[in-house]
Amino acid sequence: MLARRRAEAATVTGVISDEIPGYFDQVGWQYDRQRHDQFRTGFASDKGSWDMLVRVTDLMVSFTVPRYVERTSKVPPGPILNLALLRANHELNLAKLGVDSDGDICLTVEIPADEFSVSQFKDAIMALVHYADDFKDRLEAAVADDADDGVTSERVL
Amino acid sequence: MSAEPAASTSPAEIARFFRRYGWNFEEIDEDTFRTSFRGKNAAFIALVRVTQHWVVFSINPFVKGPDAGFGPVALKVLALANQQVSLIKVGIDDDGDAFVNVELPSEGFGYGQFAAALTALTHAADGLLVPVLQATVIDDRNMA
Repeated sequence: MLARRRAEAATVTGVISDEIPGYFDQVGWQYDRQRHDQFRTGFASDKGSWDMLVRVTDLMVSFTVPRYVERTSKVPPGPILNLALLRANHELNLAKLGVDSDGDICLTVEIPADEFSVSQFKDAIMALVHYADDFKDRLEAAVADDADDGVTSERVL
Repeated sequence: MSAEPAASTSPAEIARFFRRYGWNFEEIDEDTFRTSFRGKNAAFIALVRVTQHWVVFSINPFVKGPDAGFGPVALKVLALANQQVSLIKVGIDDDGDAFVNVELPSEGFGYGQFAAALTALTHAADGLLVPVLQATVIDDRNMA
């Protein structure tokens, strides 16, 4: 039973992965297929240019702008930046901001693989393009304030 | 999975999805549903709201914000959760309370995504609660 479920899931992943190029073509975006289940693209807007990774798993299709806001410090994000991310998440629709295991800020959309459609593909890409511009200045300010703060044990609210 | 344009879901369809999922629910207005569940660690109330563009599953408040606001340890736990847990979004609302959401496009939204969203929300809420509460205790102790 477990083997059959795994085989079914693998089939779903494979089918969606093979449909992603067609979705990119429909929105007129260039892409690079890095692996069977991962695609790299990017976009430029008023405030910068960003890479975007599209990954397909058994459960979901994820769209990620990695290193959305540059951080020069190797020190993990502090409370000012974390608070800014969490408050911004209240304003975002579909997308979310988070911190990955390397301490990098990521802008992400995740959609279940089940019933995934080209309209949702477009929604995901447009959300990232829209919000990349909207939140860049605020988060860069938070990164700077975080670096200036230096004391991570202070309450910040 | 489809390449065809898909219709948007509706409150009536969400009600059918709840019944198919086997969960009780209550319609609190024409586009918002309330349901509840008990996890290993606590009981939660969740709202599901249908708009023109989005279907939003929400537990808010997930954890009430302390009077002085969440401290650095709790903020770190909440921020990291966004990359550690799939499909869910964690944030802080205008009242300073932590929330857990799943937001999906209403166009093309079907039962499979309804079930995935509700499953993700319930597992995330129950799984995150203890780490967040522990973090708030650590913050309190650090401030004492």
